[in-house]
Order: sequence, then C-alpha cells, then structure tokens
Amino acid sequence: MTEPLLSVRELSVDFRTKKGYASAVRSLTYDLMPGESVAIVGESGSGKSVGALALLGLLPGSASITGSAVFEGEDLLTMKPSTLRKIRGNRIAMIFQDPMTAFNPVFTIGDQIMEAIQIHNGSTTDEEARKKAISLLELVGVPEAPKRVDQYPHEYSGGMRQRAMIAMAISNGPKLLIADEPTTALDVTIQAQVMESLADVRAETGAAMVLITHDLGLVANSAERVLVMYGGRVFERGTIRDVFYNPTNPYTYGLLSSIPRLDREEGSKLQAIPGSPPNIVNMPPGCAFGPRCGFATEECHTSAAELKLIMNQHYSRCHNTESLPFVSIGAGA
Amino acid sequence: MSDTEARQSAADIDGAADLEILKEQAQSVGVVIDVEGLAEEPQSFGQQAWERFRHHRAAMIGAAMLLLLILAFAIGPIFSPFDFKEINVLERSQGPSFKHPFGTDDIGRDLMVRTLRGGRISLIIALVMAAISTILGTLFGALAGYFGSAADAVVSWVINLFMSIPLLAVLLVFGVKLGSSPLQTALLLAMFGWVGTARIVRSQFIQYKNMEFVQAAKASGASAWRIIFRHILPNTLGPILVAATLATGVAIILESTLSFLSLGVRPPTPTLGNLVAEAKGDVVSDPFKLLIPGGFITLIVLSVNFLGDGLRDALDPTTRTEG
Amino acid sequence: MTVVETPTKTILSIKDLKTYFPIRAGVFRKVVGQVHAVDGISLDVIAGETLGIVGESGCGKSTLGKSIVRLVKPTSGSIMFEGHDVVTVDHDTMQGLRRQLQMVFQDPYASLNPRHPVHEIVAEPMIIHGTSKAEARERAGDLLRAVGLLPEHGNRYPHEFSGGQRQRIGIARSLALRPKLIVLDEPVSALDVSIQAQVVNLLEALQEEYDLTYMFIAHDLSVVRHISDRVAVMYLGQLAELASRDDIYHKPAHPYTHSLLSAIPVPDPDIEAQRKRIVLVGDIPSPANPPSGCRFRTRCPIAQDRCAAEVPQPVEIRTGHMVACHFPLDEGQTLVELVGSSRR
Repeated sequence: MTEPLLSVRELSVDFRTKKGYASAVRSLTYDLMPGESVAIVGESGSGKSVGALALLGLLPGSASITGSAVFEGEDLLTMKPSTLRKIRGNRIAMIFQDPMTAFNPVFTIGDQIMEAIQIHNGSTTDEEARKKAISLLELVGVPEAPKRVDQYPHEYSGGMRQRAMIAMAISNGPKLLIADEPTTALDVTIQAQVMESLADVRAETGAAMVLITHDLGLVANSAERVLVMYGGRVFERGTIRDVFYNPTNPYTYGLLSSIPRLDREEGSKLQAIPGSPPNIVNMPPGCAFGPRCGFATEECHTSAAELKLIMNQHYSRCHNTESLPFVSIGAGA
Repeated sequence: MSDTEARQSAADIDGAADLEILKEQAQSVGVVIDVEGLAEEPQSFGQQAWERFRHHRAAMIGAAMLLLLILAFAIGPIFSPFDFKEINVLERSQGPSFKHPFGTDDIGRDLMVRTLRGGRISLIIALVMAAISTILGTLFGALAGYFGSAADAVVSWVINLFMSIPLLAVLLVFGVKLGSSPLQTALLLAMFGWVGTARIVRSQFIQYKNMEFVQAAKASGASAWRIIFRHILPNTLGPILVAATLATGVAIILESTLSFLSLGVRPPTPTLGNLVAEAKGDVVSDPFKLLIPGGFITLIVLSVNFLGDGLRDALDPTTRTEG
Repeated sequence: MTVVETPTKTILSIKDLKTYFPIRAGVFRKVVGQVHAVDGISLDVIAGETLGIVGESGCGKSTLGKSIVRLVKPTSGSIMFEGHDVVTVDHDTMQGLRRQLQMVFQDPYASLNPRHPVHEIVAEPMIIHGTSKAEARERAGDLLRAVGLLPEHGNRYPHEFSGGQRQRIGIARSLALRPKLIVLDEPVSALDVSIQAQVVNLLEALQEEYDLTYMFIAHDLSVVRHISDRVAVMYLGQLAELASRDDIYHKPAHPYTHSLLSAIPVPDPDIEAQRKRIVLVGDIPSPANPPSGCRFRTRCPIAQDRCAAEVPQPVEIRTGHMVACHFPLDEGQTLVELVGSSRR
C-alpha cells in the first residue's frame, strides 16, 4: 500500500470569541492518496473551509489549532511559518472562491504568475518564467495566451480569472491542490469550463485535490471520495458511490432527498430538512444535527455520536445507524 | 406588548409542547414552522449600540469628561463670588491664589469665573455650529445622494467649491464684518462646517439607496420622503453623529483661532480663544494665564473626539455583540 | 369551491419590452453607450401559474423582474397588467397596481432594514397603503404565522434570524398587500442547500393558499424545474426558448438550453461518469455590446453564417413551445450527437 500524501488526524479548530470558544472543526481525520480527489461538502458553518485553511496556516491569530496534518512526512501544523511558506504555493497550492481578490489589481496576470514561479525557483530567468506563464495559461484554456498574459486582472472575465488562478496554482507543479468553492461565484456554463480545466490540469500534473464545495453535483462529477461535514464534524465519509447510493447518515440522506434533481422525474414536494444549520458559538448538546433530525432518539439530544465504521471505508456518525429505514447494510457496492 | 408579556410569550413558545402543537397546525396547511435558533431576549439595535458604547472605555471617559466640563461651565460661575465683568484694580495680574484659583487678569478680573464663562460660550458656539452644520449637511447630502443627477451635480459642485476656498482667509475677511456676537460666529463657522457632513451623508445615501431593503420599500410604494427618513437615515445615524462630534471639536478650535486673531466674539465677552489672546503678552511672566484656557480647549476637543470614536464603534452595524 | 376559470387567463402581458441603462463617462457624464439589459422580450404570464425565468448573469432576468414592478423604468414596450400599462402608467395608478404586484428579493441579509423590528417590516406595505397601525400590526402577526414564524417574533430585529427565517420574513412582506403576482428574484440562491427546500415548499404552499401567480427568476435549473409550470430561458436580454416545464427539460430545442442542461452536474456518480457534456467555449458577451444576429452565435457549437446576419425571431415549434433559433434541434436530438462531446 502506498503512503498517503496527506494524513490529517484529529484536527480541531477553535475560535476565541467574546462569548467564549467557538468550535469550528472537531476531530477532522482523513487521508489523501497521491493523485486522489477528495471532496469536503457542507453548508455554511460546517467547518469545511476552516479545516482546509488551517492546513496552510491561513487562519487568523484567534484560532487555536490542535491535531496533526502530515504532508510528505512533515507535520504542517507544527512547522515553522517560514518552512510552511516554502510549501505553500509550491507543493501545496490553493484555489479560492473569489479570483478577483486573489489577484493584485495593479500587476498583470503574467507578472503574478511569473512571481509565483520565481519565488520558489529563484534561478528561473524572466524569459523562462514568462514562457512558462504563457504555456500554463494555454493549458487552462485561456485563449490568445501570449497576448492575455500582459493584461490586468480586471481585463479578465470571472471565469477567465478563475482559470488564471488555476494556472498560477499549478505553476510549481504542486502535489496537492486545495480548491475552496472554486466555481461558486461563476455561471453554470462557465463552471463547466473551469471544472474541465481543473480536470485537464490534474490529468497533466497528477496533483491530488481537496475540493471544498456545497454542491453535491460537483462532488459526483469530480471526486472519488467524499466527507460530509455538519456543525464542524464529519458526519459521513466514504467513496462517492457509497455515500450517494447508500447514505448511512440522516443528514446526508436528508440533503440528497431535499435537493431538486435534474436526473429524476419530478415528485410533487421536496423532502425539506426542518430548521437551520447550528450556530457554532451555540451548539446544541448532543448530536449537532439532532434538533433537525427526523430519526433522533433520546440519546441524540444528550450525547454526540462517534464516527463509526459501517463497512469497508464507509464511516457514519449516528447513534441509530442500524435502525435507520433507508440504510441497508451489506447491499450496494 | 410590555416587556414581561413579551418574555412570557417567548417562554411559551419555547415550551416544547406548545411548539409541537403549532408545528402540527402549521404542517396541516403545508407550512413547515421554523423558529429554532432564536435568542431568548430580543434586543433592539439601540440596546445593542448602548451595550457596545458602555464597554468602550475611551468613549465612556470622553462622555464623563464632557459631562463634567458642561456641568462646570453651566453652574460653576454661579458659585463664584465674582462677576466675569467685575474689575478690581487692586488685584491686577495676580497668580493663582486661594481667592482667585486661576489668578486675575491685567485689570483685576477673576480668571476662574472668566474661564468657566468663556468655556460656556465657546462650547455653545461649537454646539450650535455642529447642530446647524449637521442639519444642513444631512439635508443636502441626503438630497444629493438619494436623488442623484441634477440635485447631486449642484450639491457636489457647491461642496467642491466650499472645499477649495481657503477657510481661514474667508474667515479673516468676513470675520471682521460678521463675527462679533457668539451667534454670528457660530453661523459663520456653520457656513463652512456643513460641507464635511454633507459629503459623508451623500456617500452613505448612494451606498444605501441601491440596497435591497430600499428597493423593497419602493416596490411597496413608499414615497421618497419615507425612504429617506424611515429607511436610509436611521442606518446612517452612526456616521452622522461621528461627523457631528468631530465638527464640535473643529468648531472649538476655529472659534479660538478667530478670537485669538480678534475676529471672533468681541471682548469683554470671554471665550476660551479670547482668554488665550489676552494672555499672549504674559506668556513668560505668567504662563498659567495661557495654559488654563488652552488646557480647557484641549480637554473639550479630546473628550468630543473620544466620544466620536465610541459612537462610531457602537453604531457600526457590522459590529455585533450577538452573532 | 373556487370558481373554475378559463385555464389560460393572461394576468400579465409583456410586449417587446426593452430596458436599457445608459453608460456614462467623463466629467460631464455624457452617455457613451447603452447596456441592453432587456432587449425585446415578449411573453404572457398566465394566472395561477409559476413562470420560471432562467439564464446566466447578464441575461437580464433580474432587470426583467424589476421592470415589471417598476423598480427600473423600461425604455420601451409595454407591460399590461390589470388593464394598465406599467411602463407608462401615472404614479397614482401605479400605487394601486403595486398592491397586486410584489417582489421577493435575493439577499435575505440585505433585503430587510436592519433598524426595523420584523413586525414593522412586514406591516410597512400595509401602512403605506393606508391600513391603520393596529390592524397592520395584527395582520403582520398573521402573515408571520403563514410563513412558519410566530407573531411573537415580530418585535425582534432581522439580525437575530437565520438566512432561511429572514427569507420567510421577506415573503411575508410580499404577501402583505394580498398581491396577485409575485416576482421572486432568486429567492433561494443565497440560502444553504438544506434550507432551499423549505423555502421552495413554503412558496408552493402559499401559492395554493393565496391563489398567487409567480414569476420565479433563478439561475438554478433544477430548482426552476421543480417549481415552474412553464420556463423561459433568457440569453443576453432576449428570449431563447419558452415552453412548458416538461418540454424545456425533455425536448429542448435551442442549443443554449441544451448547453445549460448539459453543464449542470447531477448528484449521481454513475450518471456523471458516463455523461457526455457540451462545454461552451468563450465567455458571455457584454450586454453593452451584444453580437449581431443571434446573440448566442459566438458560443453556439452549431452556428452558421446565417446566425451572424439574421436575428432569429421566436417561432412556435409546437403548441406553447417558442424558440428563437435558425436551427432548432428536433425532439430527441442532442447537441452532443451533433458536435461530439467537447474536450476543448
């Protein structure tokens, strides 16, 4: 068996607030194999982005982080900031939701990609870096790359900027791409373009990817495994086929049945999940999903469940997995 | 609904049994009830702002200082055995003593009563000026920002014109002609003071007029008047109050400058600026005569600026005590 | 029992509507161009239906909605509602029409005034239209109950509510005047996935209860398919296709509709793995400078010379199914078959 590229263990993130500690992420544990794509899905406040930003040391000072995240044999969480800086943008690259704020408006796209290359490879000449920037832009599908390399971020459309950001992210051949809601700000036809670029780029570089999103469709389309997060905790974890076809957690099940789907015939009414996602400052006692769960029992309101192995790499956090009507253990893949 | 009633009903709906019944009722007509996650006690924006203000140390110090100063200016002179115009040639140019804690001036008037009296007049001038320029500035800024186009063009042009005139030069010219009574001085200062407030209010209105809650009010048929006063103005109160406190500080300094140059309020009426001007000859021999009114000017300006800082933080809708 | 009405009573009729925004530049704010936000839209809204309007950013769907409630002033064309033309009607008559014509906004955080308690927000339209304060407040309580909140929550302020709860408040406000038609401008797109279904279900329940007609504007084709009876697809200010919900999703004729449907990933790994997808090339052109002829031709995989020269007019290809395309696809044909799945 190969070594995981990234191995996150018991990662917890707390924020100091005026009203005490807010627990944004609790005991996040997962492995990422080289070249693999894992999706982290969740709603606002689920901790899906915080968990990823913590890996790169991009959280504000009010965050206290515990646990470990071993990347190629080194723990990212205990590393010196200067060492982490060398990894960031080099072996691990990040793609953000809003490409407008990720680029500096007063420099050309080309300058910024060239800078990213030269920071980590001081010996690269300007000419080489420029050539590389152009070929990277071509790789992500920016038309007329030799011309557009000299344009400023505001001269790019939203979709084009997002592709330029992907180009910048892969400029140093990263082993790992962290994409935080990379297409949420984009139109659907543009989203399809960007996701295609991302797939091409990964095919080319063999980079592994952590895709953070709220869109279950995107997960089905571009990940191999998925972590479903809710209220800072992983509620279900498994291959996408296991999770989409045999969900074993009431939250995942509820989510999948509440969204209108183009691939199914129209039913009359959506199966809505009642209530709202919890506020991390004021979490319910017991299971975070308990107050909204149709299958909750007495136990769910008093104690939080553990993440339990259901079968073969498929985990779920629920007290009542065995008695859930939609779960058929042993069936499916 | 009274407070206790509100609390009672909040307790009622939190009672699980009632909630269940309500949920069932609602579900029977196809509506899913959604009341989870609400705080126990409703808190109005004003209450929240007060909470924040109360915990803002600089603001509370500023407010307390200003209150003390106002109190001293308002009732201090009553307790003094001297009148501010009372001349006593036998006690000319004295230093601080038990009888005259701030000393006396060169014709023997008690400087303590004159300073308190002067502070009162200076502060009144500043407050009148701040009030007038806030009202004018808010009015013109709101009209320009909300209606845009021609109204905005005219107001913006006037604002730019006023900002490009060297204020002190104009005051020097007009001060001689107009500035003699405290009210005239206040009006003169307000003529220029409104511009700053107008600029702030204008930009606030431009920002708010396209927000969805304003669009929603328009879609309900709300008049421009209603939108300006009921919807946008309450949201811009913070910056307006901050501008008003800053204007007060500026007015105190401008009044002092004018009076120092003998262009403000005419002696023998004391103002803090006049007192500084009168003391300028004796700086070396009697520094207290200058330092005392000067110190009051600094105290007033500091306290209103502290107050302004606190108001800005307290009224900023983006800072919330509750998440 | 309710009186049975003719099934196709038109409640709102839009004819050749154009809404342009001037682009100004320079010191004298000279008009240097026009954004063709809505550029010649004609459609009818039928009483009691939900008409979905879908399209990407810049297609003018929001401007269309705002033109109907006259939050923006159309440049030309007509919007007939209750015997009046919203485009030209005088202010006083418009006040009357506003009672029948309401809007729900996209952003539940920006659409409620943070300084007003909720009962005031919901009661305001009634007070503007002359209801007494006491009565308005009582009705506001009823409305809050109707949208799944409680009257007791009326004295709270918007920031105390979650996104979904706030959108319920916005919906309660839109119901305050007992309107006939509500324009819903992306009412669920700012909400968490698990909340969207609640709000969609609420909208459906209210439609039944209050006999409402909806114009549901959204970019999410899945939600639109769920809630709509008919769907209009817009592209750069114009109508690309308008048909019944089933026709749009099962027999799309416009290549743009095909591409849109193809671009949406579905939450099913096996389908996604086998799916052949059309990925459109290029960006959406600017509505300030739209292409000649067919607006979609710059990205259309089957465009021909004629598409640049001639503006396609909407044609009824089957009952109630309008398409503005020179080369519409036949039933059963797919774009992927025609041009092959696009790997750039």
